[in-house]
Parts: sequence; structure tokens; C-alpha cells
Amino acid sequence: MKRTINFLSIGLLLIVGLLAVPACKHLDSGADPLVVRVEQVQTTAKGAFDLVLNIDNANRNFYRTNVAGFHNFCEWLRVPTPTSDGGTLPRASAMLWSLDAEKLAYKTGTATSNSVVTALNVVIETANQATVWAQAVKIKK
Amino acid sequence: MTAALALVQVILPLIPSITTGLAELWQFINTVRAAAQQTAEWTPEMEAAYQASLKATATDPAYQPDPGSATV
Repeated sequence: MKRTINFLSIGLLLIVGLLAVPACKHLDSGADPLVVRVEQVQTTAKGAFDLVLNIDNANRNFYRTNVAGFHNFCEWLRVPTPTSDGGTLPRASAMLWSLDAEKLAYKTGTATSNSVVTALNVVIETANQATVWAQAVKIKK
Repeated sequence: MTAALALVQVILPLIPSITTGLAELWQFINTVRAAAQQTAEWTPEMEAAYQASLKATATDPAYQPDPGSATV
């Protein structure tokens, strides 16, 4: 017996809104709005990547056959990618690592806000793709 | 009341067989909510924890490519 239930729409609307709209909460004194914004995106993007990759991993054969675009996107996120510290991480994590490095460099004054925003936009775009795919995929059993 | 408890006891075990990904979705929603409530920069401990979570994906099965596929 199969049930097709899509639980993702509500939660994913949340992340699209969070990623697309600047945060409105009053920040603590001394907090850099750009740094807080980056960290919010770092958290939500990691969550989005975890979500889609775990959905795909639960039944890779099914998605590879029936939703190839989704599986291929997940495989793209999984590609081993070199990081600035000489290690290797899956591409999804490597881009978050890169964004984190830019943020830390910005905090120490060795990177500009422009470079941070550039890295930030890459992550936002990719995380948005993840949320769109997750909405498109039906959770079936 | 007894009937309601019996119904709950029947339904709860069925939830995993109805859906997959529900636990991940709930975790994701909580992640989004926590991020939306952030008002201060991460502490060094939070930063280290985040970096450790990224490093952990190197051995996370969900993050591993299909066998025989992509390489660096």
C-alpha cells in the first residue's frame, strides 16, 4: 500500500523566505548584520542540503530511476571538492566551508563585504535549488 | 479516552511506513526556526561546532556519491 504525502511545502516555504528576505530581527549590540545574515544562511543551507541528501539516500535506486533530475542534483552536491585547508569535502559542504572562510576573513578585516556577499549568493542559489527539488519530490512509501 | 489511546497506539507505529523523510523534515524546520531567531554572531564554540558538522559530512553516508561515480 502506497501513500504519497508531501510534507515539505510548509517547511520549505520557510527557508525560501529566510533565504530571500533579509532578516528583520533586532540584532544584539555589536553584532555585524552581514555576519549574522551569513550565519543564518549557513545554518539553513546546511539543513536544506541535509534534507535533500537524506531523502535521496533513503532510496537512491528509486530516485535515480524515477526522478533522475533530483538524484543528479544530489550527486552534484556530493562531488568531492578540495577545501582551502587542504582537505576534501562534498561540494555542498565545501561551498559552506568556503562561505565560512570568507566570513571569518571579513571579521578579521582581510576580506571585503563584496567577497562575502558573492560567496553568500552562491550558497543561497544552491540552497534554493535544493528546496525547490525537495518540494518537487513526493515522499513515497 | 481508552478508545483514543488505542487509536493513537495503532496510528503511531504506522507513521514511519507512511512517509520517509519526516524526521529530517522536522529537523529542517527546527533549523530554520533557530536561524530566524538568531540575533548575535556565533561564539567561537558555535563556530567550531559548525565547522565540525561540515567535516562530519565527509563520512556521512548521505553525502557519499554513488559507487563508481564522481571523484575529485
